[in-house]
Amino acid sequence: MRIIICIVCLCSSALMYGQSSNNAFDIIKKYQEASSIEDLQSTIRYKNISKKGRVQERSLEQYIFQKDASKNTYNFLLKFVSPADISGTSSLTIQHSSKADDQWLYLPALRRAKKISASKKGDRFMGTEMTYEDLSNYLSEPMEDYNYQLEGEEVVEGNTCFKILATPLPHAKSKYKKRILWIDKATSQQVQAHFFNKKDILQKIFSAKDIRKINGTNIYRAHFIKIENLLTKNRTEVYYEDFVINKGLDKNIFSKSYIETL
Amino acid sequence: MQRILFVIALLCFFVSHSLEGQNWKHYHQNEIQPTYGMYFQSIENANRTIPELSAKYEWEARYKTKFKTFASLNSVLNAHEKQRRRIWFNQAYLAFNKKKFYGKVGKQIIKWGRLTGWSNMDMANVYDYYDFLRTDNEALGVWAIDGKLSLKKWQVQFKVLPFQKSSRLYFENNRWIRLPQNFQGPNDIVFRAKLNEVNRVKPSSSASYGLSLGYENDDIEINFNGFSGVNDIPQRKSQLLAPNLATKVLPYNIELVYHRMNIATMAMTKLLGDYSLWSEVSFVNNQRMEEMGDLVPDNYWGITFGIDRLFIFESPEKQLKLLVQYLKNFTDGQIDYSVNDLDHVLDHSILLDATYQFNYTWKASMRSVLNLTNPSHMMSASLNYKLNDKFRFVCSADFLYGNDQHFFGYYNDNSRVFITMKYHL
Repeated sequence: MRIIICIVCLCSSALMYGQSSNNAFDIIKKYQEASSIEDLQSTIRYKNISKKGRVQERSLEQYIFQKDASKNTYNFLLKFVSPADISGTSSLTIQHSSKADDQWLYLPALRRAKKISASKKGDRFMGTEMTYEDLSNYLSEPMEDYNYQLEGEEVVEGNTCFKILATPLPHAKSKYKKRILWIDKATSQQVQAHFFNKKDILQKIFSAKDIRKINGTNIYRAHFIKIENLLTKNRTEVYYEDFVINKGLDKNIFSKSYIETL
Repeated sequence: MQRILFVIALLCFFVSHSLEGQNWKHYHQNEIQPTYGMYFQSIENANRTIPELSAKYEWEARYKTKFKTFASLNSVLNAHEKQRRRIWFNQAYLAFNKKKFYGKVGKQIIKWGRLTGWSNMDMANVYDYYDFLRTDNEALGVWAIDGKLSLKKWQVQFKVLPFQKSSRLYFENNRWIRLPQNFQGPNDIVFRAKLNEVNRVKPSSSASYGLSLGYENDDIEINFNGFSGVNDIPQRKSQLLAPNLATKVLPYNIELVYHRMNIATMAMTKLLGDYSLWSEVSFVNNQRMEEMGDLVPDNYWGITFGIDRLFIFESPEKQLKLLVQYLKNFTDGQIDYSVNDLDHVLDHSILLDATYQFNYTWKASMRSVLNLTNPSHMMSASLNYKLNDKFRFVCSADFLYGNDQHFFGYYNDNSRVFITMKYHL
């Protein structure tokens, strides 16, 4: 009898686990569909705040183009507009799935785009607390690289959310041991994420606020995000405006010649 | 021309503002910069201080990602130098792109060199040479058509400058161009020299052209560049006029002879990990003036190589940029170039640039140029304090010393210190 009970228990827990995994996968799939883009442009104002309270504030225009949906690769063009000492500087990143990314920096003093060494996954993106890996994951959740598990529901900042544990698969070469994502049930947007480093210590907290529809579309986007590094005590706050999504961005702008000319 | 530019800029400003929306974006920024400089030594007939106020208004309007107009209205008020007091449109251009073609038409700053450091092609850049060492913010706009065609790994670029635009030079009471104070006349009579007028002799063709072919594959970039145009630094000769025996004054004219110059270069850049390595081989077909006032060819080869890197630290506030460059021009060893011949100041030199950002508010930078033929040295250092995004304060100093057969040693009495405030409205 005991053996039968054990078998029933094992089967039911395995079924529950499978259901939770499937649910988690479906939630993440919905989140990925809700957040993925073919192209995007917006204006950004961000603040890097050091642990000593010193602030670096910058404004820029960002242009993003999905190069290859199946490989989760993007082209990024960032054009800084303020403050004056950095105004006119542009950065172009062409991501590749099979080799290192190509990156150029246009500096007004040089009046030419200079190729710079490709950033690694764990490098800070433009000096912020967000790494290139974080940015890629935020633009499109890399479902083929992670295992997902639903850990219940929680309310975050008034939003009822699914709490999902994302564990990287061995081939993913992630800088994190795991991530915990909170996906808003109503909008399928990520409202919070915890990043644990390889030592399983909570390293960063990501939070997204002011989630609303983009004008004239059914696409939701966070207009404010905050990334706090608990180990270094630095944080980055990003404010988004003027989103234009999937309106057919000219792909010729993702070229060295473009950043040298316009 | 300035008035036409002003009307066009004003028109563009109102049109773009009236059309403001998702497709139009415009930005403008103002900068006011008072500077006070002081030389460590006094010299005869030249001011020891540099009190100056400069202001700049920049305006940019863009339609989608298709085209943009940009205008920069500059002004300078110098307490000592009348010629430097002026207001002008330094840039006013239209940039556009159509598929793989990218163009820029109008008054714009052209930097000819394609290296991160100094290139012999940079000899054709046009500056306001009120101060020979402080040219970073003194590049002058020139009328030009600049076109680029981008074909996967290849890039073809052409530039046409239909009119001659020369660098601005200052002849009176300037510490960098020292005119004769006296002339020895017959019977050992010493006459006081008096500049009467400066005449410019222009070449028959004043247009300049540039062509560049670039190839980029993974971490290697190769560029073939050509320039054919007018050397913005003229050769100079004096013409003595009839002396006034009563007052013992000898008036004279200066003739600035502009001549054509051709430069060809092959530049290569290679990324090696976090380091960027670059080199250039160049050939310069220039002219120089002999003692008798005749122009003769001045042809030479040049080679340079350099390395630069940006160091990033654990703290996002800290950054270090380093650049080292070696330059060697293989000139005719028999020729004695004048110490103030700007085209030959860097003939055999090592250049070092370093910038260290301590945090978001403090930054220090240093530039050092060492001449290896006639040992002499220039070192510039500056400390930058950013109070906020509107206010910045810069304290800087330039030190020149060494053999007086070279520019840096010859002008060793021009070592000085500056205090600058930058205010962005």
